[in-house]
Amino acid sequence: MTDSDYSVEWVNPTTMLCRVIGERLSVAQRHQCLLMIHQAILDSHKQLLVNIVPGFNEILLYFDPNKIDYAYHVTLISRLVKTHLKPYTHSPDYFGAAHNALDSQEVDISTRPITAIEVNFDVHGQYDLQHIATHLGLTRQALITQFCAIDFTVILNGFMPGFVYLSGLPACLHIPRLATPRVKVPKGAVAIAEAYCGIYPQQSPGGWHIIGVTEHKMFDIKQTPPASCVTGERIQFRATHNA
Amino acid sequence: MLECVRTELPIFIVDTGRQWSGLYGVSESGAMDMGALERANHILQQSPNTAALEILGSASFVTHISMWVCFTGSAAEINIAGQGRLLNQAIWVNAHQTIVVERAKQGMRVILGVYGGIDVPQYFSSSCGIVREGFGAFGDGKPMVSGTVASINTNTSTNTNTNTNTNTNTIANTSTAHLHHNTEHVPKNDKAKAHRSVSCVSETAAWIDFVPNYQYAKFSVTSRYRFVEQAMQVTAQSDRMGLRLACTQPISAPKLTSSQALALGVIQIPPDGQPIVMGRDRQTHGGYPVIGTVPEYGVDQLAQINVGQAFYFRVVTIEQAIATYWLKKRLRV
Repeated sequence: MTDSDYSVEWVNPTTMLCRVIGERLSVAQRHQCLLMIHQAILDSHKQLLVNIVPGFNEILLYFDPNKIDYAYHVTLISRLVKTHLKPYTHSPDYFGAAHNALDSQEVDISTRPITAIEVNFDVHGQYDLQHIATHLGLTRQALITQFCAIDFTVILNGFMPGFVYLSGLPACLHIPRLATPRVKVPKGAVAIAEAYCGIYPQQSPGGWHIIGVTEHKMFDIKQTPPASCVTGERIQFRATHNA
Repeated sequence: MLECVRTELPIFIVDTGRQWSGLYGVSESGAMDMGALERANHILQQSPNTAALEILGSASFVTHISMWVCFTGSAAEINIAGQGRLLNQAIWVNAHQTIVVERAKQGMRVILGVYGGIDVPQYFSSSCGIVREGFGAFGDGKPMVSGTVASINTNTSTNTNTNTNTNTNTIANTSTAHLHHNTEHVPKNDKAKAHRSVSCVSETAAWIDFVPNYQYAKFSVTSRYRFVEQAMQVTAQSDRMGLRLACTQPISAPKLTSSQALALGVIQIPPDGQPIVMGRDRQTHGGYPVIGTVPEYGVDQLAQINVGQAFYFRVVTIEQAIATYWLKKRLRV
């Protein structure tokens, strides 16, 4: 591991940006590593913070101004990042590395329960299911079966309240964004683009391929917590009966 | 209660912003000129997080009950019951009096602080609301417009209220408001503070500090040079989400492969090369490359720069930014 594999710095007087750069890491490894760092920070240092924004390659930490110790906190977070990054950068073998990573104080994400989300797959050709299947050289049914077998992990909520980005889409299901974005993506749309799967919490414009629509409520300000799926949670999709 | 009789532009409820909202993709929000909000609440001797109003254009209000108010921010002309009043002072306003705020010639945003605070339901420990998010402020994220009646929190013994009702003040609790809002809670006008006016950049120097970070190292030398050597202007397309700037020579930016988490004040460079400084209502993530970050105190200054007025960006180290941040915070209170 070198210092160029990560960076921890104050970007403004109350916010710290903690980046995992490590170009030797795969996208999946980077997400896994960031999830562990995110969880470790929430477990041990939540009292220092007032907000946290998880990202694809970084975590933004909003400190309580009255608790900041500039030099000490950079060291503290750097040490934490190093600990979680070490196993990945020492061994080229992902699985071997992940196995070694789990020492006593680390978080094992694979044991978390899976939330099942029911989807009305687009079997009537209203959206993009057929298009995706054709593009990937699959039948519609094969695509649905394959999609429902994936164990997705929530990377973050972003773009709008409750819009989840899920990682876990295998390379064989990657598809570029729509050339022309839709003006109206329906509420609850389950869509894929490039390496990610996302769920639209409300109607909005969007450029992802819609595979189906769910009635699962992604964001409700009256609930605690307001978003039904947060960073680190696992999700599996299931076809509703009429699909 | 405080009724908005007429307002040129929507008026926002502001406080120090939301906490623990980032996990859910919810914006931070808060006062664009945080220094002005903190000063108003400091003068009114209450928690910095007490909800106040952020006024952009001209507006007029009528009080339904008597209350302490304090104006900070831009150098707006304030008239209460026909009498001109100063900024940065605690002012006692009787019931049924008219408050008129004229659009400021210098500065963009006036904070109208009220003793007790504007009383609306809180989400993520904040009274702020954003229309596109659909919750908070005066219901569904809506700002104050002509005709909106705001409740004032009369239970001033605690500043961490979690009230759930808006606009439901009855005559009964309006009368108790009088008891709580007695004149002893608030100090006599502080003459020294009354002079310390607008935090607007033009009064000191036309420089806005920024700390090079995020993708700064990936910008070409030409882009970095162009960013600091030419005059920038705030455009009329600016809002609480982002202050959109204009410059003659567009800044070209490196390619960015994925979206990133956006801190307050990050300077995004979109394909047209005109910088956007992300404000309090910014979305949690953004896809444009970032050349650096304007520290909080710089965002306060930018929020008060008049549309069309020129300024320059100045590189500072994070250490300098931290020192200035704390110095300004200490001077404020």
